[in-house]
Amino acid sequence: MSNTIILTSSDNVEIPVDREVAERSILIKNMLEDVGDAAANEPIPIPNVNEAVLKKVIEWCVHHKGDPPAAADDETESRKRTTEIDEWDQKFMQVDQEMLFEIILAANYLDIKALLDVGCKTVANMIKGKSPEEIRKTFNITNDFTPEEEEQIRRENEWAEE
Amino acid sequence: MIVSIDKLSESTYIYQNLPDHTLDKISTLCPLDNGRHHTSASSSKANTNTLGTLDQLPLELLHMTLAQLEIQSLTDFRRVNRRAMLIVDSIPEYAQIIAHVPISIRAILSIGSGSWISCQDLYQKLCTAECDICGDFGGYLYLITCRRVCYLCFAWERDYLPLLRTDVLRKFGLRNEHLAGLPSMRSLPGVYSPREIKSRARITLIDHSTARQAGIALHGTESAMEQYASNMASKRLEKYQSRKSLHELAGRVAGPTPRRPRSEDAFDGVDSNPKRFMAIICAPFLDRRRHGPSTCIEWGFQCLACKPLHYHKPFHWRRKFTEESFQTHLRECGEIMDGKHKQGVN
Repeated sequence: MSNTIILTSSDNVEIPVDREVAERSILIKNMLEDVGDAAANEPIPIPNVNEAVLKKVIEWCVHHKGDPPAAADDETESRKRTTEIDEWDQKFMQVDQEMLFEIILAANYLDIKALLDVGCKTVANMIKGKSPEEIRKTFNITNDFTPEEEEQIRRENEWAEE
Repeated sequence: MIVSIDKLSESTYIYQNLPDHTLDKISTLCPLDNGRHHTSASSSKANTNTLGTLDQLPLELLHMTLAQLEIQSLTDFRRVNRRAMLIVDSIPEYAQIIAHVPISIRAILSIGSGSWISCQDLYQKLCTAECDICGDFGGYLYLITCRRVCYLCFAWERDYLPLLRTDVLRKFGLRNEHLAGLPSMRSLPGVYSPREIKSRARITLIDHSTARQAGIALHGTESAMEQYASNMASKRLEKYQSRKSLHELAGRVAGPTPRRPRSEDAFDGVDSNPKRFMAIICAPFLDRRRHGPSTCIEWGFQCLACKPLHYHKPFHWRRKFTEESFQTHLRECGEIMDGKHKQGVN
């Protein structure tokens, strides 16, 4: 049984990776189980993810190789602590928005729950504590409320006597 | 089945007008904008507008991300544009909260604890029936942090007595700079507790249990924290003694008499202590097993046999039950015959 498998990115780059590392992706894990060991030497196409993103995802999987697998019903617990992202992951996620969203989409497609979770938390932290205007700037969003409307909404969501 | 339901309705009651005066009875809670501003298809703008770069994420992932935000951030995000408002309103957890328990969000925004409670946490607690402390049916939420509580616990347990800043500094040996990170709220003017105590000033209250944890973390152990607090108290007392004797020597010209520093906790009137009611709302249990078009909302009910003002568990008249926990109660205290628990110590 080979311990290295090959993933082919959407832009046709072959990336060798430890089988154990690649199996952090439930999609790849199930695929390998389905095709059996004989076919495991064939490159596995990952048509939705380009080389740069796939390398980044693999980097994350390598670092988190030894993590205990999260139990299925652990989901609510692990999602609970909203802001807490471990230091390495925080650094890992210091990429431009384009890459951040690509990583999230790849984690979703490859079914790597923990990475998806870190990605979503990172985006949530980019929103947290910001004013609507700051949020608009961060994500390049156009405002379609009039200033009066916006002010009214603000007041409706505050203690009525202040 | 019909027999058992009849039996249930015969031996239980719902106390309609409990004069509890919790936060949800305050009439000045914020009204919420939900439903007042058109975001729907009728407004053509909503469809053409985008969420900028966030639109790269499919709706499902946006929902997942936004549900992790605290209520305050989520509320601010709704004001970004019409599409943002539409997307927040369609987060499954948020939609359930707004549909069934909007008072929870109104209360959180009004007392300013919205930076401590995420949408997800609030939803989880609404979908939990049991009191976090004792496991009884908890008909209330404590909203400085988000906890499910029963009356007996929030009115008597130490952790549900929110503290003034000065109490936190004194009891847990913290300094001012530690306070910013602690969950807190600002009380609303109103009437609180069954004793109907008026409270006009807006006071800042801090969550007891997180403050205590912060104190223990700072000092290493609980006993080290208590030692530190008691040393500080003695020092304050010494200072006061010397100021007092100086004052006595100088006579009235020296100004007002120095005040004795507080060394003990203020009297806690438990269920007549207004502070214990300032962060509490009545909140039903959302039964997730029966979600969908006919979400099951359970407010809990009380036991008729325990009604004649018992004040001790398991017969305490304040206990609330669900169908399930009432069966447990009957097993523990005895079936009800002629309005009394059969093997009960009535």
